[in-house]
Order: sequence, then C-alpha cells, then structure tokens
Amino acid sequence: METIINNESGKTLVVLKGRIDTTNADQFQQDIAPLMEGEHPDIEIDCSEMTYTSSQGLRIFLLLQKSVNARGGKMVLRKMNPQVKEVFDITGFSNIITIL
Amino acid sequence: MLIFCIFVFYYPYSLFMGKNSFANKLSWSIIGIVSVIYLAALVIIAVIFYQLMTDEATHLSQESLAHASRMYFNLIVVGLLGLVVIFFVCRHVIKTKTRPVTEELETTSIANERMESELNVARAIQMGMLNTKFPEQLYAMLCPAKEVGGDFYDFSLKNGKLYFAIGDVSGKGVPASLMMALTSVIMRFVAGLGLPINTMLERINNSVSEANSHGMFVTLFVARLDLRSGHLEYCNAGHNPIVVIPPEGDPHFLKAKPNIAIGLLGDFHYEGESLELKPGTRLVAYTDGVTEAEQASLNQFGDDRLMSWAQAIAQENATIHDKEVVESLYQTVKHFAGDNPQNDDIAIMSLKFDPNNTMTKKRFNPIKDKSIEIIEFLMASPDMPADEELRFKLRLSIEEAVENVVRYAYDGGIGWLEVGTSLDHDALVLTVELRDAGVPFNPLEQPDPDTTSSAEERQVGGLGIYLCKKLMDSIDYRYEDGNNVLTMKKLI
Repeated sequence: METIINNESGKTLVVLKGRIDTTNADQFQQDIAPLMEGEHPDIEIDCSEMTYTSSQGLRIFLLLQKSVNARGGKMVLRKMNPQVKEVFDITGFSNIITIL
Repeated sequence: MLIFCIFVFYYPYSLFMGKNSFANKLSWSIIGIVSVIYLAALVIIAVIFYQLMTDEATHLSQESLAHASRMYFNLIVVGLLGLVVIFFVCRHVIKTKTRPVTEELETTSIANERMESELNVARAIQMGMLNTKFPEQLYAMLCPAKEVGGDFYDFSLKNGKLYFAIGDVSGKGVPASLMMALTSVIMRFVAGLGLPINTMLERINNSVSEANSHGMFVTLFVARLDLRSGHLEYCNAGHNPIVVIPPEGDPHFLKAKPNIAIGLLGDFHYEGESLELKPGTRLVAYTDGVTEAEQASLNQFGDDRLMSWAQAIAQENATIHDKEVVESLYQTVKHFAGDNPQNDDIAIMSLKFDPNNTMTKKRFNPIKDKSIEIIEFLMASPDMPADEELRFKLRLSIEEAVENVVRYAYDGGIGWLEVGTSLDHDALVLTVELRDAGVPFNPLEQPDPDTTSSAEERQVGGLGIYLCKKLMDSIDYRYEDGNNVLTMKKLI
C-alpha cells in the first residue's frame, strides 16, 4: 500500500496504490493524516491503482469524508476499479462519497 | 639423418594412431614394412659404394675424391626423398583400397551415436509427458526396460474427484513408446470431458483403433474416485487386476468385468462398474513388468509374491505414504530379479482414499497477528475458483469473517481458530467454515448498517459482517460443542 500526496495550487492530489486490508489499515490512516487538516480542503484521489479494500479501509474513507464535510471542503475519488467500486456500492458509501 | 628418420616415421604414426581403427593400423604396418625394406636396400648400396670408394681412394686424385663424396651425399638425399615418396604413395594406395571399409565403419559409428542421443532425447520427452505433480493422495513411478517404453500412467484432480489411469502398450522400445504417446494424449483429452468411465474408454478405443496401423494394443485401467464419498467408478480394458488393501481384512484383487484391450476393435462396448471404498482403503495399480519380472532361472515374480508383499504393506497401511508403497514394491521386485536385467517396462501407482485428508482444514493457535496467514491459507485451497472476480469477493468475505474472530472472539486473549473449505458433490458450491472456542457470539444478529444515511449519521463499525452477507450467497451461524461455527457458501 502506497499513498502519494501532492499539493497543487490549493488542490490536494492523492494517488493510492495497492491493497488496503487488515495489515495496513492503520498505516493508511497515518498516511492520510495530512488530509485531515486545513480549512475548505479540495481533495482529489486517484484510485486507479487501488486493487482492494476491506471494511478497515472503508472505515477510514468514511472518517475522511466526515472530516472534509465538517471543514466545508470537497473530495472526489476517481478511476476506481469496478470491483472496489462494488464494495463502495454495496455498503452505500457511493451515496456519501463522490466517486467519478 | 636420425632426426629426419624419426620425423618420417613418427608423422605417419601419429597421423594414423590418432584414429584407432583396424584399417589405420594395417596401413601403418604396410608403410612400415615397405620403408624398412627400402632403407635396408639404401644402406646396403651406401655400404658397397663406400667400400668401393675407400678401396679406390689411394688411386684417385684429390678432385675425383671430392666428386665421389658429393655423389655419396646426393645418393643419401635422393634415398631419403624416395622414402618420403614411398610413404605418400603407399598411403594413397591404402586409402583408396580401404576407403569403403573405413567409411562404412565410421558411418555406422556416427549413426549409432546419433541414434543413442536421439533415444536419450526421446526418453526425456517421454518422461516429460508424465504428470509428476502428485496430489497428497497419490504417487506413481515409471521405469522403462529400455531408453523408452510403452508403460504409462496419468492422473488429475478436479472438483474433488481423482481420475487415474495406468496402461501398458504391447511390445517395448520405440514402437511401444510412440503408441504410448498417442494413447496418453487421447486419454488426457477424453478425461477432461467428464464422461462416464466406460464411455471414456470407448472414446479412447475408437480413436486409438483408427490410428493403429500395426495391430498393437494397449491394456488400460481407468478410474475416478470421489475423494469425499469414496465412490469409485472404474473400467478395466485387459489390464492386470488392481490390488486393494482395505483398512481391515486381507488385500485382494479388484474384481473387474472383462473388456478387451484398447486398439484392437473399434466400437467395442466397454463395461464399467463402481464400488464404495471404505475410508483408509489403498489401491495399488501396476503393469506386468512387476508380475512378470524374472530371475535368471526364469522364475517369475507372479501374483502370489505380489499378494505377500501387499500383506506386509497392509500391516502399516494406516501410516505408510503412497511414495513409500510404490518404492517398496519396486525394490521388492528388483530384489527378486537380482542380477537379471529388467526385461519389461514397470509402472506402479499407489493411492489412498482418506476423506479426512480431503477437506482443506487447519487450526491456527494462537491467532493473534495471524489474520493474513489464515486468509492466505484459505485462498490457497484447491477448492477455490480461479476466476478473479469471485476470488476478490471470497477474499474480502474471508478477511472480514477472520478479522471478526481475531478481534472479538477471545476478548483480546489467546485462542484458536479452525478454518476449512470444501466443495459440494457437483463442485458448484464452495463452503468456507470458521470454528472458534471464544465467547458465544452470533455476528449475524448485529443490525445491518443503514446504507442510506448521510456521512454524518453513518457509524464507522458493523461493515465487515454486512459485506460477508452481501458478497456470499449464504451465511449461517451455529453454536456447537462449545464452539462458534460460521459457515459461508458461495456458488462458484
């Protein structure tokens, strides 16, 4: 699991690579800690190379979405592979997280 | 002069002795004899000439003496040149005369060498055709009497059913090996069709009969064993009877209806039959290279010795492995034959019906930090489908279910988790079972998360078991013998 974060003219670009599962969910939470700070965040996450997420990963996406909403910001997840997208759909996460 | 002579003799010697053939030795001898006669004649002439010269020396003038010395020197040079000429003339004559013999000898030896290396390659190819990725329940070996042979075996494990076969082509060596290759390729193809055993043999027989221009035949035993129920379907086409070693009672030959060997008669109707094996039953299949192994006195190993061997194996049937069984029979036969060379190909196969061995099952104890190990163990089960999409769903469900136990079953204390997979009879439904001795807890009673609520209202927990419910086709919980048992099923 790899998390790459770049800031570009007020926008935060994130690339997620690999699997988020029980072994690395805690590390993932630490990796995205910088996204939990600052007012009016504008976050775009490239999920094209994210191959798997368990409920542990979903939990962190939910925490992040809650934090972004509370700070009056916005977040989009892009290019999610269909199998991972299905997990977001089943759990109703597609309704509360913008997936493009 | 001496050095020159050594050179003249040694050069052809080395030239010829390099190739150690009879023809070369002969030509060396002829050149040697002719050269010795010539040299002897030269020496005699030189001696006579020298004596004449010294006798006359007193009467000759100084000039005449110098002239005679030059003549003497010239005579030696011409003589030696003559020797070289003789050598080459002789060599040429001998070469022309002996060429056909030498070439024939050389051609034969090159052809032999080529044949030998081709046979070695053929052997490697034949051995490479054999399946050697033995499952836990089976082991087999093949030992041709020559470089290549006509005995063969095959097996495959699919959907909880072990298909296996052993065969013997009439004759041995290259013709038998070609027929063996043909038959085993047809057999492997037909085996993949999932036909009843007798239909399978009919298909093999029809194909082999069509391609059989030399009236060869193949004895063949083919069977399919359900590794869960012990149901054995089999058909014997003229092959040696299979040895059955039951968990209790005496070893005996497997009764089989008589069918003719493969390749003799197209459209023959083969009769198959079936038997329910008791758990712990072992089957040993072999070819006639075993029973017809001979001592120097022409005594054959025979059925009686085979049965005595089986009696001995029966004593340790429960603990001995198939590989040891196969090696034991081979060594027994070899020991019986003693120094007498193996006169026929030998193939031996041993397998055991052991249903306890069939469900992929393992207990992990303790389970702390073992989540990934447990998940990987289940995902590596032979029952798992190959389809990536299915595997994704199964993996996610397994991870959630395993995590549920690892995190909550023992309240953070030490405990075990037993996991296993199995397939139903038709290999359509995969079952994953998790069993633990933790606090009684039915995860299915937990309320499902509200998937329609907003981000602010959503709770962070409760997603794992919900994913299992959604991704699997069924999920059940029971509390049994002090254990939590979670069973998940998926149509594959």
